[in-house]
Amino acid sequence: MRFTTRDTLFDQLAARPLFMCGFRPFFLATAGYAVILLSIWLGFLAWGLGVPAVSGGPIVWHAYELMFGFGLAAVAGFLLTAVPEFTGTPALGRRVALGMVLLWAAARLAFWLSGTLGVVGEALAAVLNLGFLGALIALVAPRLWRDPERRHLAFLWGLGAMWLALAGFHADALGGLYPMRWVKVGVGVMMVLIVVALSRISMRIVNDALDAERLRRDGAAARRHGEDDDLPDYRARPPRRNLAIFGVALYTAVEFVLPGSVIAGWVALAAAAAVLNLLNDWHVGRALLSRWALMLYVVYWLMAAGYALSGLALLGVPVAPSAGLHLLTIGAMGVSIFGVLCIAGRTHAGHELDMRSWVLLAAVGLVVAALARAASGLPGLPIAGLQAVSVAAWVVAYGLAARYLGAVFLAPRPDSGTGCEEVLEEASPP
Amino acid sequence: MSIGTLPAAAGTQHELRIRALDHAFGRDEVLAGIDFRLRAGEVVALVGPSGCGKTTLLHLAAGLLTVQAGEVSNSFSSTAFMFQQPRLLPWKTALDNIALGLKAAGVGRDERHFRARELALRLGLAHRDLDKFPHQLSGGMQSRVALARALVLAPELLLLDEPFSALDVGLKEELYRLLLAQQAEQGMGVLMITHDLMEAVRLSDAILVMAPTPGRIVCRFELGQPAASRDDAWVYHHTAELLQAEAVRDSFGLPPGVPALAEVPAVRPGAGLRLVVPAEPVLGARGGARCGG
Amino acid sequence: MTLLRAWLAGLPAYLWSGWGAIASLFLLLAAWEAVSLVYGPLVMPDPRSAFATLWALIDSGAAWPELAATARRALSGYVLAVLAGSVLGLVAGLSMTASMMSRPLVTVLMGTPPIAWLVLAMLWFGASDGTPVFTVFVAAFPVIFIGALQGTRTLDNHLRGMAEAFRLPRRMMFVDVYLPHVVSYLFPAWIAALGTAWKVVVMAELLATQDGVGAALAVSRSHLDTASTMAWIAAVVGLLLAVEYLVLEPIKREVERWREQGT
Repeated sequence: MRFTTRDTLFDQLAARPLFMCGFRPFFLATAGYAVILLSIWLGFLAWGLGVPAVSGGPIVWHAYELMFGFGLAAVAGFLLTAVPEFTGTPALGRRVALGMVLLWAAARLAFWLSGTLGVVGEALAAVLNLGFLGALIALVAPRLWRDPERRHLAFLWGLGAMWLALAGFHADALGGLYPMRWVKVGVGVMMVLIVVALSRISMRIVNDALDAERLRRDGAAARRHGEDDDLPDYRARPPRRNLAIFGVALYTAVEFVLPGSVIAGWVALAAAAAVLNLLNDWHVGRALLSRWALMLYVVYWLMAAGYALSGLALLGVPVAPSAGLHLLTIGAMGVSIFGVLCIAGRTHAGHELDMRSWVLLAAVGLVVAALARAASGLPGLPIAGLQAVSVAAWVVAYGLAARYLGAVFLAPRPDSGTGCEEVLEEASPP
Repeated sequence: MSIGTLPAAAGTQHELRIRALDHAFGRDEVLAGIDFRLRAGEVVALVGPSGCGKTTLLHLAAGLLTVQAGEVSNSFSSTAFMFQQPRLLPWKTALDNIALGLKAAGVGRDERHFRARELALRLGLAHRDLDKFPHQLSGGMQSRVALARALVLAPELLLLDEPFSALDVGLKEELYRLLLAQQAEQGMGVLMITHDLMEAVRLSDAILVMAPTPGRIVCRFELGQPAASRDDAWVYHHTAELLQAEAVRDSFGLPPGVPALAEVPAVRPGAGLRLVVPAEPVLGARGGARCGG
Repeated sequence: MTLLRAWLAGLPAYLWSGWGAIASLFLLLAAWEAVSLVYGPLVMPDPRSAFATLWALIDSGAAWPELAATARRALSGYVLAVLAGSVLGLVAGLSMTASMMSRPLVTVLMGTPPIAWLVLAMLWFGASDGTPVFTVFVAAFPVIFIGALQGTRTLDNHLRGMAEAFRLPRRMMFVDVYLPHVVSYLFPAWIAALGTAWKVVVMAELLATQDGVGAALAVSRSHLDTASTMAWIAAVVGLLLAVEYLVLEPIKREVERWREQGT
């Protein structure tokens, strides 16, 4: 009897539009949680208000939650939607969406309480967080593996590496060690996942921008372009991407084995150059200046700048090591997740891309947040003020995202779609 | 001047005249006793199996080889050559390739680019193709460039060495049309090599059939209907007819045809093939004995 | 002029494509750093102290005269090799007999190690500039000669026939048909020879002269000064990389744009 009631409640919840597709609850959680986390962090920085006590202290809480709470919520939302689409397999359904987001919330709660509940709390946080990521892997792995060409296995390796980083963190935490090094591994893995995911998203965004540019150039005569077009199609080519992934992965590994070493510094510079090298594919002319293409393009610049700054710090240039790190997290991760929320979030909810100005405001806010936080690590600049500016800009940006995109995620689709489909052409007969 | 009119009556002085031409590479006799004449506005096809000396004959006519015995006299004021392969200069853009002959003739840069561009557009090349290098163009586009390079000189005599043999049917048809239009407009004399009988029937006013070892002309066919007004059925019909001719079968090494078919004179009055024995002194004369018979 | 404009327009994209190479070079520096970490600065100074030493050499003005002397010798030998190699290679290529005859000679030249030439040159020219210049010339000459020979031998008969059929005058025949083809063989040979020249000159100086980078290397070796050794090596390699990738490679790309594989 109680089971039936609970199932019914679960199903009733799952029937809401919010759980129509995996990305909806997770992207809402991503944006909302970004605001919550940084609001608390601002309270801590500015007024010394408390943050949840976890082993390792406030900074570990801040880093862990942004990396494995905020970051993995976005990853989960993206993959629960994208993997069925990439592999041409059926959608994962409402119950998975609801179940996964509940698991994610439980993992968050467990980590927040991990400091107060002692070893049991630590263990519970470990089990729930690893369980959440493990469940995500279990959901997507068979589909990625069974794809005939296995074109998207990179996501699986990324998730596996992320799981190891998470496991390492909890092992250190349970063993009483300072676990921050594993969060840095998580950042490296996240950068790789971003490079992999953007290569997929950019194929569409940049080519749409090129089509628009051709249309603008040729006027109404929207001829079909061919090979001989003077604006060739954009292709995210694997060799450069693989070099960038190699650079990032190598830096992450060297920094883990030899933290703070000059060797890691040179490798960080190599990673920065490899990421800039990736932009060769992107220099397609005016089309790059369109809103969405530029947003994704900026992600690479922030990533390259982040690694360059990290490298310089390791080589002895007087820059705080955290400056480069935050260009990666606030900048590359913050902007790319925001872009994915806007692009995948809207199109898979049946909306066209959002051309309103709040998007620009939020994107600029995130870049400002990243630059201000990085600048606070340069010698001679006001640390507290810049950090406050950074946090405030971040909260505003993701607040706008939660407000405008949340409305989309909570509402039913405007078209006849019933799941994760992209915008359906209403005009065309079924 | 209508193309259909055989130029024998036109009385123009310009002509390519080949008399008693022999040629040998070392000990190999390649050509023996070649004799024919091509007048302005006339399209003549040389057909024959591979290795029968067609290309040598064409190169002799173009002055690319030195005449050893006999006579080649070309009174046309300008001659252009189109090769079997496009033979474009890989380091020059399509436009510069087309304008190459004009440049050699000392035409100024703007003038030759203007003329090259104008003709290229007429031959179905796009503006942006003209700035590309040959390797960036498809085979069909390269052939168009090669054709344009020859035609832009507005030659009185055009020599074609199996220029369309590597192209697909659709492209061939299009280039035939473009070629015939230019030919009609300019009144060019055209001497073309082909081993594709249908191409010969489609395009030429006269077909010279060559046989190998040594290369010699074994007979001459004249086609009555103007090339522009030949439809597919006409071309198929007369190609089939040509294929039944004993001289043609001999030359290409085919077994003798079905006698019944070969004997039937499927010639419609005034429109069909007329067969001329090469030995006959008066070139361009109609009627006469059976080829090879 | 058009060539210059096209070159300038293509420059940003070309320079940007250098990031991949820069990434590799940084990885090399990381490996260098690792070696110096393992074996200690006496065996291998770390990159930063090598660069600091180099900077000190440049800053104090000590580096320029040595580099200038080395560059003078390398370029003298190189220019002689370019002139002689190109001209003789072209001429030899024109004649089947000459190319048949010259091939084994060039193989002998190529096969003789530069150090052997250096010993001979020291006997002939003593400690003068003649020794490094001659060694550079002998090392670079066969590379260029072969390039020029190949370029002439591989001229396409089809294109020549075409050019004749279109009645190209002699000058056009040379400028529009022969030259672009030959240059496409010569240019890579010139670039390869420049690398050879630059390497050989340092070796020659090490043994035979009192100034120049090679001599400076000999001095730093005798003082067991590994930091300045690496600094000089970095300077030599850096200069070669700069000349090759900033000057020669972009020119080569532009000159050979027609060769690019289809998009």
